[in-house]
Amino acid sequence: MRSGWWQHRAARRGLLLVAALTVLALAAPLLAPYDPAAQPDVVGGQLLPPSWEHPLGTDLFSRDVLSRLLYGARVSLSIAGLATLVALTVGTLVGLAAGFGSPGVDAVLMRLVDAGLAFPRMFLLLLVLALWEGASTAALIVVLGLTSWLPTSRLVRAEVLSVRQRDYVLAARALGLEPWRIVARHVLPNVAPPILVSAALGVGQIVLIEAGLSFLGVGVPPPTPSWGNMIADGQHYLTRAPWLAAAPGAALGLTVVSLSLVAEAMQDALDPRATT
Amino acid sequence: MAGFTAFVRRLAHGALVAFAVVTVTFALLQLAPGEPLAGVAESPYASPEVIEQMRRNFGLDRPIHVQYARYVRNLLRGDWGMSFAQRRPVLDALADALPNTVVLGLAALLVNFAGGIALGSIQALRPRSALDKALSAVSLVLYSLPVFWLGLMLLLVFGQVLGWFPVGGVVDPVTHPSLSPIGQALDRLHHLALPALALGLVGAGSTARYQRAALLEVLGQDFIRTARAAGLSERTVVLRHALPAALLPTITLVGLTLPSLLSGAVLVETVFSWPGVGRLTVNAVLQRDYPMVAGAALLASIAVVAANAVADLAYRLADPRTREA
Repeated sequence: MRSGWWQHRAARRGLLLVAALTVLALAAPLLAPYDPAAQPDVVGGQLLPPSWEHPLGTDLFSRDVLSRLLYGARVSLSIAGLATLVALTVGTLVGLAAGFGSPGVDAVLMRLVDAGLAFPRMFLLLLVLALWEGASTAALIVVLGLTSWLPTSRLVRAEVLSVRQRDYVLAARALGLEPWRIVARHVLPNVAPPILVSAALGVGQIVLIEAGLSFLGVGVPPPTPSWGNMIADGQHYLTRAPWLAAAPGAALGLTVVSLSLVAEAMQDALDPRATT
Repeated sequence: MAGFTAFVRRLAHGALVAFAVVTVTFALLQLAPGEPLAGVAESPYASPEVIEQMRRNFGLDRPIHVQYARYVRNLLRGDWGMSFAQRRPVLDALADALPNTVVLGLAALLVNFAGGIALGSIQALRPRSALDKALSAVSLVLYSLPVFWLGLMLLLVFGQVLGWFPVGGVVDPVTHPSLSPIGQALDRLHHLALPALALGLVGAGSTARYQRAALLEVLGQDFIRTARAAGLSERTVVLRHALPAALLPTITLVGLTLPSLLSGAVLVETVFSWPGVGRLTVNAVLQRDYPMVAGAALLASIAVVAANAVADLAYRLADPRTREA
């Protein structure tokens, strides 16, 4: 399976792009030509168009946009990555509980998941962020993660239900293997691939949602560059300095496209029949 | 008859979901930091006795389950609380904003499904061709773009640089009152175009993917081969037989896209100064107007539950196979 996976051209492209973006984000301090917070010349250096000194121009406070973009990648990608981790953990636990629990537990948990899926996520996030004013980045990660685990829990539950009745699991139970061993040995390896697909898509979704929240002014607070709040800064200078809003949006699009390519290729590798 | 039972069960399920949403909202409001009367307590005129009296009046001294019952009862009665910032009932403010969001949402759905079905069908008719691959790339990019950024870029290009469309609002505040009824309708459409395009195009990307898969599957089925063998023209085979069968699974997406459509509307309404529920919510968040935000969140989820029930019913009516089940 692994070799087939790598031969997939779109997968390779997507993975290379994701890897490149991660390296760019990690190496931001080495690569960024300027300090992202430096305001060298607030009077003469503001809203400069792209040039050799400033490949993506400068913003209202004469800060270098390319440097902020690179540091923004760190912020946006790490928030999305960590929030996805939270979502995967919670989703897996709930899915296991529903799949292995009594029919009553299963029904209650799945109704809760249904209710959660009917709640438009942006409104729920806005309500939480309005009530907990000035939440820290850590809190933002937790909130994003806690609103993103629903699809994962469904995937895990479905897999548990299908694995539970298989002969080798029944045999393992008959032999008196403890439940957590069955989960670790037989269930998780089966669920891992679909979870990874949903994680790749989930990171992309969370990148977009974080950008939206930061754009609205309730996500990452301003001095820290995030792609969303950079677009928010740029929207007031659309005609004077279009690069301010254009560059971070393009970076967002590229990130989500590459994550989708990876997810799609993984999906194809898992279910070759779906390839058309 | 069985279909009717299923429909009743579907409604009960929807009511249960709505109830869960109300409970979550109440829990969030309770868990939030800060005393509800903190603003009043700062006033030099509010003695401890007065504050105690106010707490009793608002029922804040009662046990939590009593407060919860009261909250649910008030919601059902249509009392959704008072907006702090607007100093009027939350439900009134929502009712004023709702028509604008409904119009924007329906226009975006039209763009989404007309665009997505056209794209996906063209792809499915020439699978694996260069055109198919190019359009696949287009739809991938469309659904990966941040909706508010797409809105801003449309605004920049078509609103500000080319000047073909207005840059925000529902109508032109200066000329609108003096226009003829037809002119007023055109003015509204003119303002609606860019926000609906931004919100609809993002969804069109994923609709195209579903439509491509659905049509490809139908085209591989026996009845299509039979139709072709019977000597029907390719045009008749596709338009009369394949497309209607492929539309059914795609149309069920309407219910599923609604949550993301509403989430997107929050952002698009903000970009285009569109006075709908989304912009109302964002302003309420920035003003810490909790009753307003909670009301908008409730309205949004009730809309999703209701739309899903309607979509389900429509599917039952459209697909004969679900009737006898």
